[in-house]
Amino acid sequence: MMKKQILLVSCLCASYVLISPIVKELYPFSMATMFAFPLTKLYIYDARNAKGIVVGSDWFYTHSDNLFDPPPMTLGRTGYGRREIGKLSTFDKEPPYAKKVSEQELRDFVLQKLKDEPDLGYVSVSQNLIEAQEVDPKHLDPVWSKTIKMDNPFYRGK
Amino acid sequence: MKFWSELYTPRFGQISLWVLLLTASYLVLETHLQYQSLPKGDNLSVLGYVLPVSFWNCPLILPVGKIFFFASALCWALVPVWAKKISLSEAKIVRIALCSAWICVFSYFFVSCAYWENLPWIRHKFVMPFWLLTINALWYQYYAESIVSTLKKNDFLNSEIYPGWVYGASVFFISVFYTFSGISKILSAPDWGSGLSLQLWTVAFGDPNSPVARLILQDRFNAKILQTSVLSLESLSFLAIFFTPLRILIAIGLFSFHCAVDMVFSIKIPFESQKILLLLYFLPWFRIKKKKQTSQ
Repeated sequence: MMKKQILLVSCLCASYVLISPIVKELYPFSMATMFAFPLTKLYIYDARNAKGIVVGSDWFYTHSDNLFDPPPMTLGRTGYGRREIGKLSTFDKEPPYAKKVSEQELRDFVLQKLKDEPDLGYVSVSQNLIEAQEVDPKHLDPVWSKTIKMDNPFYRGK
Repeated sequence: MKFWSELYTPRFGQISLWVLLLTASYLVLETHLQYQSLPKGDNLSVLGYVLPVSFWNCPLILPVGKIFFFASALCWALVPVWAKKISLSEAKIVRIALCSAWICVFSYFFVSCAYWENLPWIRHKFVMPFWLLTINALWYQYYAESIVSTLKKNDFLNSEIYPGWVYGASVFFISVFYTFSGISKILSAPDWGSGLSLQLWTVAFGDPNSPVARLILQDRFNAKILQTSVLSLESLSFLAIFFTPLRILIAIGLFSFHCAVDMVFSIKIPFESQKILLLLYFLPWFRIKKKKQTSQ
């Protein structure tokens, strides 16, 4: 009786050990891939108003790919259970994993967000690249920056 | 590993089952269908490949799953009360215990699948409780008659009706879960622990006021030490299956790791359920009890 119980439990353990590495993420099988893909560079974004104050601080992080928990890439899958519309696509399947968003994609994305900001006349949107520098391997500072000014077509102010 | 085939008194088994049910309930309470209006993406669960997309679009799936889960979890948790206080035959109480245990497992599985299929991200913390619930349901599957009978005779706590494999397999699943986490990091990049990626994640998602975040950003060497430690700890977690003293150290290490993650990142990634299960199964509650019994 006890042997039968142990055999069944062992089969359960074996199924988890054998299936998880193949499927990576298919509930209830998981390789717990959170933070598994190490970035070697990072693009960070911000949008500022005429006074230089950051607006929409969560625009770029809550509506972009999850850089520390990217979608499963096995069984022909490329996304999560639900697809966010108008999301900023910032994750690449291949190293260095951080994808550069083109100026047009960035403009389209910010334009969507401006729909809900009728009090903003314009915004300055910055795209900063952060990566390791040979001259100072200990610290991280933007090595490349680009700022674009975007008028808000939905502006209803004076 | 020899203890898998031995029988123990069920004090730890019953208490750990209650804690596990509470932990699973806490996770089920967190589930929602807030993103159900978004277009369906890929299948994230085994059930996703079985059921059609239209099923996952139904707003009733989660409320119904939750009702089944909470009712069965309560019923399962209260088996010791049913057996003593309700004047039903032993056979009927055994049937109630078995039904509630398996409905609880399957409803938890269903709720988790429904949640994963309707999220624009992943929630890994739902994985471990499923396997632990399944192991506990198997305990009831094989020992429900003895459990109910000893409860009726008021001899439950003194009877050897908790097989070692329940505890052993629970430790196995937790250990392998963390080991897989380490392996997936090593497989994606052998130099995963270089410190650079931790610094970049901290820049992107870190809390600038956190002392740990400042420590990471101050010098890549600090980040490398932390990242390499986590990688080693996770990858070697499987050793907890075999060695009790190491199990305690690994529990403390992984618990500290979860606390550090909470402190570093401003986007909160609550892993309270993992912390509870680590402390429950990796600290030597079960083995201490066994030693006490032997000395008596």
